[in-house]
Amino acid sequence: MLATAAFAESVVLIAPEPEAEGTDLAVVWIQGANYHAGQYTQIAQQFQLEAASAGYKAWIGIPDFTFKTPNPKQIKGHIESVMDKITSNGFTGDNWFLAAHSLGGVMTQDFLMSGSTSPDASLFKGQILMSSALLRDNRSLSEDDGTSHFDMNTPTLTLGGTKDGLMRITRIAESYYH
Amino acid sequence: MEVLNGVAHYQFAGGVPPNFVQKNDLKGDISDADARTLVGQYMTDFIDSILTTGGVESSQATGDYMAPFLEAMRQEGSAVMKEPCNQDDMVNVPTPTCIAGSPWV
Repeated sequence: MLATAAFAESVVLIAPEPEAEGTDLAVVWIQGANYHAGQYTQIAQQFQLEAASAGYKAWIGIPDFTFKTPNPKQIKGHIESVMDKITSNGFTGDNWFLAAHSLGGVMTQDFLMSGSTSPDASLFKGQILMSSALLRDNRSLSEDDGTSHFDMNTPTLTLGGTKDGLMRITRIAESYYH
Repeated sequence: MEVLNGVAHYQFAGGVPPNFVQKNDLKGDISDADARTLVGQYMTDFIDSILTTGGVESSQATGDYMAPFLEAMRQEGSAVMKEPCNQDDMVNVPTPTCIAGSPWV
């Protein structure tokens, strides 16, 4: 399945081919600092291919932030604009996911923890953090037995690269410990 | 959580990396195309698990990779696990909610 990429209203939309079959799912993909949304087109298209082989029809929308950097002021509005764009282009169902690279992961988890109702954070069934990790502020310690846990209710996949020179694997190990 | 062997920061995106990434990142051990495939597969597996079984655990390979890091943190008495106890100038009292220090000090 080949994807079609359209650039409009500062959202890169990667829609499945019209003849594609499978269960609809949608991913709102948030860029890292100083990246353009378009720099995620190839990796998002590869994900779309892998999803298709597993029986999913994946829609991906990637917003472009001011000064090429995701920020707290714009995150809700950009997520909402991507959801609107994906829906208006034919997405059906409720399988919404967030994906984020680097600093984008800080924004997505803050959004999910915010309890936002517009857009509704509870619509997202999972998030994928790439070169990013759940924040230390988002974990708690049990006073009873000293065990720690993250307060994030949304299922989260953290992907850490062993050759990552920024989000180093030792920081990922810390997150793994908790 | 999953560890991606040989993948660098810039390989989660394409094009020319930002200056800061160019100056600080390492060179990936695998090709950009292979890195994209790995990411796509892990994302798909995760989403499929969420939609079919409701959850997913880290792989054994990731657990094996992380094991020596966790052991190093334990032996160091690392503050990234919990806040240091700082109860005493000489020896902290073992307390569940804080790190008393390295086990061999």
